[in-house]
Amino acid sequence: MHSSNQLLRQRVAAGSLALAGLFSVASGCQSRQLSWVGAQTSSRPTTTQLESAVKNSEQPKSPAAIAHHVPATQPATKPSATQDGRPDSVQLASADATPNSGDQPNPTQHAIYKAGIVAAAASQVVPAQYASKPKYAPIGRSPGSENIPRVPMGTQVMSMPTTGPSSTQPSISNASHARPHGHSHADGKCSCCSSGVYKPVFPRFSGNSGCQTCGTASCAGTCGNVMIEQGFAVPRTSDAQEYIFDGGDHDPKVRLREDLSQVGLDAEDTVIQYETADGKINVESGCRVAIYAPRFASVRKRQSTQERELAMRPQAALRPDGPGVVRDQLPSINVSKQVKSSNSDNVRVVEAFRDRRRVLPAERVLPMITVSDAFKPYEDLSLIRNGDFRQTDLAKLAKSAAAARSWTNVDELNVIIDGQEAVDVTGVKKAADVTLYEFKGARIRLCKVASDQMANPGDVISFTIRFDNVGEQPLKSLVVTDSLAPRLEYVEKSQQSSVAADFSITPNSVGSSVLRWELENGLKPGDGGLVRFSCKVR
Amino acid sequence: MHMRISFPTLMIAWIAMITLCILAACFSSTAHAQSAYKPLPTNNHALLRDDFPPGQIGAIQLQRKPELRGLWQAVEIRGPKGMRINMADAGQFAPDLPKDNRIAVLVGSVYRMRITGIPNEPDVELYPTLEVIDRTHPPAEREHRFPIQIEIDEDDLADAARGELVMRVIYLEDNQVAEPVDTAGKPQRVLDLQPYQDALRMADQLGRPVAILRIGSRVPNVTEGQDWDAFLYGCPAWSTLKVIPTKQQLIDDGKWPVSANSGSISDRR
Repeated sequence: MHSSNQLLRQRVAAGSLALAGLFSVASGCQSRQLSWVGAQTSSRPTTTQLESAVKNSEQPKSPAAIAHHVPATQPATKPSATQDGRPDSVQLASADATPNSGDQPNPTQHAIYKAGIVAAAASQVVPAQYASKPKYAPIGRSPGSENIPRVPMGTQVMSMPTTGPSSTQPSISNASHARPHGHSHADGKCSCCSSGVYKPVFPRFSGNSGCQTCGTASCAGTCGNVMIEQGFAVPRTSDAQEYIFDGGDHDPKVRLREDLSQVGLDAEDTVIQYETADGKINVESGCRVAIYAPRFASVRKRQSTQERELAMRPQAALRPDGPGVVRDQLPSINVSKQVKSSNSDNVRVVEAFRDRRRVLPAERVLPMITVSDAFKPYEDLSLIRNGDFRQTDLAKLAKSAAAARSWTNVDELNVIIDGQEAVDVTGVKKAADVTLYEFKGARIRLCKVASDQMANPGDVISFTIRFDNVGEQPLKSLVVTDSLAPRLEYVEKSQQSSVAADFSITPNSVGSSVLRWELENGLKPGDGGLVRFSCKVR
Repeated sequence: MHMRISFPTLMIAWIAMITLCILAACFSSTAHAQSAYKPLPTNNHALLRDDFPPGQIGAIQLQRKPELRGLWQAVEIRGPKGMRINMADAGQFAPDLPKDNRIAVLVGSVYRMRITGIPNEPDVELYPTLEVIDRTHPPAEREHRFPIQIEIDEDDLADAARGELVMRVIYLEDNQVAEPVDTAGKPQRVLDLQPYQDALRMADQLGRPVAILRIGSRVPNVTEGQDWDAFLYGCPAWSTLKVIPTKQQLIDDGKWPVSANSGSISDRR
């Protein structure tokens, strides 16, 4: 009986072990969580430490009061804890800085001290101009504020993020506190540049002659960050919200339905649709123009004192504390991305490889008689005048247009044989190689330019769209479509076309118009045309 | 004598253990999944609010965007006919601004100004503050042509003179989603908010806030001393902008060249 009981105990024990093992494997996440909790709790101070910290600390301090604490005058304390047992980070920082406190604190201490200042800024109203005014820099201490530091507002507000050797934080010295202006060269060193609290926003800098603000040459190489004139140090950025774009083809790309209606035609899109000789119907887009035209509006809130109190009462109760979410207004990808050719432009078929220069029929050199007036100044491009793209046009196009596609190089060959133009393969000069290609592809080029690159509301801007058949097939059923941006209003009867076309206007989804030219005739290889219209900036 | 455990008992025991293990595994995976896919908290609030005192938003902006420090921004203050504006300068109010009220101010600073010549209120003086909290990016040498337009209408002045606090947050519209309305020669588009709404947040939703104008009815009772300096917010620097005529003005004045870049391409050749 004893042995049977022992066997039963062994079996039960083995089952328990197996069960425990299975539990440990199956609930691994919980075990990890427990270990994580354990690790977290292990970093907390022990009960003894907490008690000693409570004994040593004078009183529990609010974060703002802690932030005001002077490292130099703070007594050596151990890390204190708040009521929930969590150590206060600011207090810990101050405690860490205590051993090094003194008249000349080290950079680490200054960084911690500065972090306290930043934390205090959340609860302290410090207008920037006060901080930059030297007369507001605290010189003396008011009675009863021995533990409140003299906040170096100049350091707080005027300090700049620096790189390299200039990234050392300026130390807080008594001399700089005593002289908020910070221009002391008694030791032959410019304190405004190296250790003072005052930093000029635009320090004058002239080569090796030193800091002209101070008039000494000794700080020529020691000024570090502040010797970089900020106007040049900061690159000129841009913001897409300030521009009106027109042209190109946004995602989703324009596609054709079975009934040849277009889908995906967003605002600002400009496309041309054509049918090739073999029955394919394609859609191409061109370059994009950018017009600087910011427009301002405002929101207004008027409230009396009574209204404000009534309105703020429930809101103050519901408003959460702590840091919130800061949404940076970054420029959109339209201006932040690099302007370069995309893969879709480079992986074209053999046509992209055989860019060439065609001969120009004489009638294309002259202005097109169907377009009234002459070419306008902004159309003074070889590409717009006669469809002959030259490298000199690149700079002008890049200036006025956000180059949405890469303009390929052209080569030199001007030969006509029996009315048919010969072609030359770029980079391959052997005649035998030319015969390897069958130039039966279709290709069209679309370019759009604007008469001005900046405009105010009310200004009228003219646009010109040039299209050319640069392929080897005659094209037909061409339709040029331009969906205007919401701030562009088409000027009635301002459209012109160099070729016979049916013009129509339909509203688009953003409150502007879609301009559509249906060309009556096709385009032979090498032929082209242009349409022109005007828009008023809203 | 060995005590035998019946087979059904063992089977039941093993099934129970396996069931417990499966339940434990499911529970742990469920808990882990819940912790991994826990949605973000929804009680976020903006860091900047419109009830901040003047200067604080600008100071925070300077800390967030160091490139704004020391940056001059062109602003244009427009108001009803007859309104005169005096900017605080060196501890006092400067003479009237030029006709177009177009000046350059520092981003992040607070400017105190005095407004006189209020319609129907000839003896009333108002002292609004202007705080530019962000910049624009006009083309080089064309900064004067695209100032931040700060517009004060008669209602603002009347309400402020009556004792209310009028706050205008001027924002830059996003041109890609802007309202398709014609604003040429018309007053600035204004959206009136309720007192419980945050003007700064609303402007941030509509565009990019660039300036804050606060018009109250407080008047200074001192003209010197520390309180006076605090009232003037330290008199940050500003400068007037040169008036550059527009193309239409040049055409009207007969100064616009009529022969340049005109004619056909053939003629120019």
